[in-house]
Formats: sequence, C-alpha cells, structure tokens
Amino acid sequence: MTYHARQSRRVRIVMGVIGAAIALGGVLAPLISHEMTTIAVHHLLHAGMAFGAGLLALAIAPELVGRERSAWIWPAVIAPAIGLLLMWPSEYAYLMSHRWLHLLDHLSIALVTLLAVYAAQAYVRGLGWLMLGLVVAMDAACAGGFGVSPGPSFLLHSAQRPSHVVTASNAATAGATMKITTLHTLGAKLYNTMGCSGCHSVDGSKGVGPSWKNLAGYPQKLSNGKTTIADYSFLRVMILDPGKMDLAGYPAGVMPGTYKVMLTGPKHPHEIRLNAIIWYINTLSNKAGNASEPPVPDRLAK
Amino acid sequence: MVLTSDNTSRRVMTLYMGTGLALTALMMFAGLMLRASQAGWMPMSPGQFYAVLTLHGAVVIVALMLCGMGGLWFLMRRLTSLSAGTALIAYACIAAGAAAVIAATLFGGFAGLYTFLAPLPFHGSWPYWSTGAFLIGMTLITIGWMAWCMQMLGAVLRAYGGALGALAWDFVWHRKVFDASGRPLPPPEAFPALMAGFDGMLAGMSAMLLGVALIVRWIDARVLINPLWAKNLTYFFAHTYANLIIYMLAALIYVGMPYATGRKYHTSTALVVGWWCSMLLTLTNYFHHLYMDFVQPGPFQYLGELSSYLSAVPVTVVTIFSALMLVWRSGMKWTLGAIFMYAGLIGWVVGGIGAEIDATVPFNTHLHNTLWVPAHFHTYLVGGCVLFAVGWVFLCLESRSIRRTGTLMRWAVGLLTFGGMVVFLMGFYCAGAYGVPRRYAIESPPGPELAKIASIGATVMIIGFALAFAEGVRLRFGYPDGEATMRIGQEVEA
Repeated sequence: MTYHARQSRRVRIVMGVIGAAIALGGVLAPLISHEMTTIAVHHLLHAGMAFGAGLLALAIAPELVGRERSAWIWPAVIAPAIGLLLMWPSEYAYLMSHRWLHLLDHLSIALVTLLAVYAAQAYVRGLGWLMLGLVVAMDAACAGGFGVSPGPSFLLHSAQRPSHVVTASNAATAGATMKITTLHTLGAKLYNTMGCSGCHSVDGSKGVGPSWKNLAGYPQKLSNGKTTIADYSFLRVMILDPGKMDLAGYPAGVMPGTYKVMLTGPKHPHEIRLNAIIWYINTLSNKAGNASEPPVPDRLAK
Repeated sequence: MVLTSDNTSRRVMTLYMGTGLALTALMMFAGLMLRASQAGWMPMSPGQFYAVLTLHGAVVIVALMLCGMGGLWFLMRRLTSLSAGTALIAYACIAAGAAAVIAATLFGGFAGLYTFLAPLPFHGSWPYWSTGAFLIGMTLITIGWMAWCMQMLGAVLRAYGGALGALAWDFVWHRKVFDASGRPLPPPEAFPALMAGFDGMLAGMSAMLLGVALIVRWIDARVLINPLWAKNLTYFFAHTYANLIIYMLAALIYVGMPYATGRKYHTSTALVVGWWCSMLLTLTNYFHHLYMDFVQPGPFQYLGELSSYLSAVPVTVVTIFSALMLVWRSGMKWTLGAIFMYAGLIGWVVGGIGAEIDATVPFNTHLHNTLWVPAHFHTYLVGGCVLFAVGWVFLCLESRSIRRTGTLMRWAVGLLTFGGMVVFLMGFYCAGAYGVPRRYAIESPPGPELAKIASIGATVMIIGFALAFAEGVRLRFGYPDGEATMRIGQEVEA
C-alpha cells in the first residue's frame, strides 16, 4: 500500500468515525432529550444528523474510477425525497409524545441520507460529496418555510398586522382595554412556530379550525347542539383535550391531541406557553375579559 | 473513433427530441389560442384561459428541456459510455410527469399557473385531485431530470478525470503543466454538459424540496408553507431550468456549426472562463424576478442584477462571436439546418438583451411583470432554443439524405417562420413597453389590439414551421438504402 493510499484510508476512517458519532447522536437524541423545539430548529437538527450520515456513507463507499454503475442513480435521486417525507412537519408534535417512534423516524432519515450519498459515490466517485452537500442543504432549507409560517415578515410589517392585535408597538393605545405583557408576544410567536396558524386564522377567515379573531368571550356552538362561552377553561380544554368537545361546523378529530404533552406536565410546571397562547387569543377578541384570561400572573415579565 | 452510426445513441436522441418537438408544436397551438383569446377572437372563460396558460408554460419548458437533454446526451455518448437504460427510465419519468400535468390542466382545470406559487395551488376552484396530479407530475419530471443530470455530470467527471479536469482548470491556469500531462481537453460541448449536470442537480434538488413540500401541504392542510420561501425555490429552479435549456441546446452549435462550415470549433480560454461564469452565476440571477418582493433581503437584489449580466454575457458573446467567425468566409451552404442554427444565434442575442433590460433595476420598475417578460423569454425560447433544435434535426437529416432543399422552399420557410416570429414577438414587446400586465385573460388597452397583431404573426410562424416539417419528412424519405451513418460529428475521437 502506498503512502497516499494509507493516508487516504486514515482520512476515511476518521471521517467515518466522526460521521457515525454525529449520526448516532442524532438518532438517539429523542431518548436523551424530549423537549419540544420549534419546527425550524427540528429541521436544522435533521440536517446536522444527515451530515453525519453522509460522512459515514462517504467513508464506506467504494472507490470506483472510470466506470458507470447506472443502477445507483435511482436510489441517489429518490432517497432524498423520501427523507423529506420523513420530515413531515405537522407530525412533529405527535412524534414528540412517542419517543420510540421519534427515534425510528430519526433512524430512517439517517439511513435514507446514507443511501443517497453512498449511491451517488458508488455511481461515479466524487458525486457523493455533491449529494452530501445537496441533502444537507435541502434539509436545512426546510427550516426556511416547510411547515414554518412567515412569522418574520408578519412581525416586521406592522402595517399588514390586524389592528386589533395588541403588541408592544400599539400597547399604549390598547392599554385602556388590555394590558400588554411579554406573554402576548410569546403567544404570537408560538402561534406561528407550533403549527397553530396552519388551521386557525387571526383575521376572521375560516380555516380548518375556528378563527382566533373574536373567539375568546364569545358564545360557541357545539356539535351536540349546546352553546358555551369561550372562557379560559373552554380554551384550555380545546387546546389540551380537543376530543372532549366538538365545535359545530368544523370536522372532528383534526386538532392534534399532542399539545397536552408539549404544554403541560412535569416539564412545564408553570404552563407558561399554554397561558401565552391563551393570552394571545384574548388579545384578538373584543369580548375578552377576566373569565377568558388565564388566572395566573405574567411570570415572564417578572 | 466513435461514429454516429451508434444506433442506440441515435434512437435515444430521436425519442427525446421527437417528443420534445411534438410537445412544442402542440404548445404553439395552445399559445396561439391564448393570444387569440386575449385578442377577443376566441371565446375562452378566464378559468379555461388560466388552465391553458398553466399547461402552455409548464409543458413548453419540459418539451424544450427534452430537446436539450436528447441532443446533449447524444453528443456526450460520442465522448464516453452512457447507459441508454438510465436515459430511457428518466424519459419515462418525465413523460409520465408531463402526462399528469396535461391531465391536471386539461381535464382537471388546474389553473395555479406554471409557477404554482404557494398558496395559489390550494385556493382555486378546480378539483382537489387536479392539484395533486399537477404537483406529483412536476415531481416526477424532477426525478427524471435529476437522474439525467447525474448521468451527465458523471459522464464528464469520468471522461476528464474529475472536476478539475472537466472544468479545464489546468488548461486555464497552468497551461504548461496541462500540455505536459497529455490529458484530454474537454471539447466545447462538454462544458454545457458539465453545467447542465451541476446546476441541474442543484436546481433539481430545489424543485424536489418544493414539490415534496407542496404535496405534503396538499395531503395535510395543517402544514404551512412560507410563500416567500416557496417563491425563492420556485424561481431558483424554474429560472435555472429555463437558462439551462438554452445552454444545453447551445452545445448543438458547437457540433452543428463546424459541420455546416467545415471548420473546427476549438476550446479556448475565453470559452472556458465564459462557461465558468455561467455555471456559477446562473444560480443567482433569478433574484431579478423578485425585485418587487420588498421583504427579500437587499443584497440579493444587487446580486441578482450583477449575476444577470455576468452569467449571460460572457458565454453568449464568446459562443456567438466564435460561431460568426466560423461562418465568416467559410463558404457555408445555407441549407435549412444552417439557416435555423444561424437564426437561433440572433434569437439568443435579442432575447438575452431583452432579459438584461428587464434585469436592470430602473427598467424593471416599469417592466416588472408586464408582457415584456414573456417577450424576452419567448424570443430566446422560440427564436433561440426551438431554432437550435430544429436546425440540429435538419443538419442530421441533410447529412444523410440524398435530397436537397430547393431555394424557393428555403425562402418560403425562412420568410414565413422568421417574419411571423418577429410580428408575434413585437406584439409582446410593444405591450410590455406600454405596461400591459402579463398573465391576464383580459388585458387592458392596447393589449387586445396588440394581441390581434401577435396572433396573426403567430399563425404565419406556425405555417412556416409546418412547411419546414413537411420538408423534413421529404428529406427523411431521401435516405439511401444501407447507409446508416450520420456524417455529423464524425471527427470526434474517443
């Protein structure tokens, strides 16, 4: 074995060990930490894990020169698409409450990345590096908008914002009816990052679920014919146990039941995020009052 | 020596280019219907108009892409081994995708436009299935395209000893080392293959990301898609595809013009550097379509203007000047193949200038999303790409046929095709200069009047192409018995 061949082998071993460590860390992450992150951060973590799996693939891929092994093209092209399907953003909340399923999802993402990069490198030497860059870039690019609402532009352009939304910028004028707190801001952010905006509008337009505009404090018709006021307990139940009550005019069983894990329990002793969301719903209603507001102080402000 | 008697190679090219040109012909009729509708001569509801516009835009890009893919695959197969099976499966994916797009628009009435900017595909009055069929169709096309790109990229990497060899890096920077090494210098047509392979992979991944994201959104309404993110991805891949089509078909110039003129087309430093510029900056010039998206970060807008110039100008200038120098005093016979090829150079330049004007910020404030935009891309697609493809087909036919095209026929085809094309295109340019917006079923004045003129021009142009088709069939029946070798491209050595 020549000096260069030995050097090349060492580099590949080091690369393989580093890649395997990163990929393994990513795959096992659901067992180590189960804290809900935003969808964008989740996509970025997947990109990191894909990078590790890709490095491992490059380390174990055969070195072929001057030959075309055309059958390898197809796994190289199709595997990244399968990887994207495994990053289905609206299922993240569900996966967060099922850690073994979450681990399986991570393992699958790592394996399809490994397959894509290995296949590209096996097809023609050198293409594996390009495929590694493309898959990692694609996974990272998901953070820009796949399952992620246009939050930044919404916050930047106050002119486009519904005038009834109380925020730091218009708090002075709105303060007469509603005291602005940092929980409102957090609630608005969570609305965008936890997937709420996929089904609930804030401008009164009908979506998959009821609009949050003028929801708090208003009477709501249930599918069993009864009517109830959307007070704090109603809002809390609808978020945490949506199966308990069905609103008339909206399909039952669509709202995920996973927000309970994400917002309450031992890891969320003060339920700050739940209260922030309910505070935010209150800011969107002109009938909001003590009955519909969370009965807790603004802990973030303190 | 690899001769073009390679039947497999010729059949694959014929399949790709035949399908591409047939779809292009159909889409010319669809385009004529659209202009006639805008002129008020053809009754069409807005829903039908937007569905046909969606079909026209999406399928034309795929059709011309097929022409470029077939031509370039044929040229590269002369230089290195390529699996025909892979090319055929890629073709099948693209054909299936195109069929899904046609079904979604014609039978499903999908009218989310060929740019299918989110969230438009999900807010129309068309049936649910047609959105899915369109998106799945586009994703299938992307899969076929990606496989072809990977094959092209693999081919140039294998043929020239890796990325640096394919880029002719040492040829430009270390000439003595390169000369001493004895390594082969990539011929001019290898650079479009490299660019199509590399840029095509990047654009394809972007298309795949968007396609899968939109399919997921179609299945699951809870999934959010950021519209600006989607628009960036759409323009990144679609604009790159549109640019790559002309660069892929430009490869045909590098082989076709030498054949027509009897001179050689050499790889020069200027040509190589020009291709480097195009390869890199084609990826960032799409930003000029987002000048009016004010939330887009400012530096991208400047980059868009700069890239628009630097990506197009070097390679266009080098290629066209070289081609003109080949023709100059060569005694070239002005056959239909040569006429179409040469005229295609003009269309490339004029369309390119139109694009550069639109990409210049002060002009863009006036021309953005007016009919100037379709004016420039119709110029380089119809006046450039289609002519290169048709010219190549004629050169191939003329290289084998014992029949020759008469002078009268050449004049008739030339006058009808190019005369009609100029009138058709001027309808777009003038309307754009007057600020008539694009993509409207009912246009503001003077749009309808100009649409009438454009419709007449398009009709004359189609008659010209029909005449050329008839002449092509006549040449095809003039093949001598037992003669299976195309003379075009014989000079290439393995």
